[in-house]
Amino acid sequence: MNWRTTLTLLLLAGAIVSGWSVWTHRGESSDNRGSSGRSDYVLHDFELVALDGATGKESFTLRAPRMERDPGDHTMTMETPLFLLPDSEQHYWQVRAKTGWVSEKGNELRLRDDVRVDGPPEGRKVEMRTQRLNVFPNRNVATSPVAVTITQPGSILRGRGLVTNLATRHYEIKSQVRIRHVPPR
Amino acid sequence: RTADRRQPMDIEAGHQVGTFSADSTNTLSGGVHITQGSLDITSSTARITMVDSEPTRAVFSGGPVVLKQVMDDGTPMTARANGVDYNLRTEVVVFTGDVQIQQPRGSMSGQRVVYNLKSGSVESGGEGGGRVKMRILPRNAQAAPAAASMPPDDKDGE
Repeated sequence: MNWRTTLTLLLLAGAIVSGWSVWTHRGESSDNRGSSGRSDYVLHDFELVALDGATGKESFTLRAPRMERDPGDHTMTMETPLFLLPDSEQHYWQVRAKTGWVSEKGNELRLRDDVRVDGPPEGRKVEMRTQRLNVFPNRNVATSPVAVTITQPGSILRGRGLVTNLATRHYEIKSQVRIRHVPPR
Repeated sequence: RTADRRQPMDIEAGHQVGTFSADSTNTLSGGVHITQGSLDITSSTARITMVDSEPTRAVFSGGPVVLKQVMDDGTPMTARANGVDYNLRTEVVVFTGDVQIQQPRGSMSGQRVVYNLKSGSVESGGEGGGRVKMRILPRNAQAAPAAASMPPDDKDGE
């Protein structure tokens, strides 16, 4: 078998492999086209009121200067969001952060960087500061896997790992609990 | 010291459960250490009752609980027990379970001791609290460190 035949066979094998490769990956690009960073719509300076699918009650209100929606997975991302979360008496927790993310069904919110949580002004003053907060509005639950600082009248509480119910105001700090209580003068 | 109550209270623990409200009960676990002025308490767990944002009662258990405090007359007091129920308003502390209290003027052991840190009055035994042992050192011996800790208390008493 001379060198021409060998070369022909090699080229034929190459053609078959590349053809097979193109065939098997033909579907992927269409799936990713959606999340290639291009959103299907953008909102500016908006207020969005999300309702609970089961009860029809207000789940949360979202205000932000800008929001993008991803057509691929229908999630929403926004800069400097303000989330208003109603408690059992329809008083609102205010949650701010540098960036926010809302799941497709609106049942999970992710807040990242300089997260500030302020309790309803009608109730006892509560402030929380952390860098990550996940909120599940339909269950009134907020969690953080990282360091949190909670300030209440007369006390500052620091810890790592938070689970709190915004309706009942119960909370749990998972580790590294440090509390400083200062008696009133 | 009475002045301790006007000092900041620092609490360290491995885990906490509580409520964002002026009246609440906070449960601390995973090893608890509380300091406030000269007061220093370590225990396994603690339950602190807050009324109007003020800690009013602290119940400690496990460990044993070790409570150290300087009294108003400047003398140190160290107490060990399985359980300590501290009323932060009245300054009355109830020690229960293998209680041992050490002070320069002497030492005491028993199963139940009620100590008023403000007045210094002590009530022990009673209510099935078992026998109480007390050792009061003569004044000239009080300067020396308190006598060696009492022999382990035999519950049946002599």
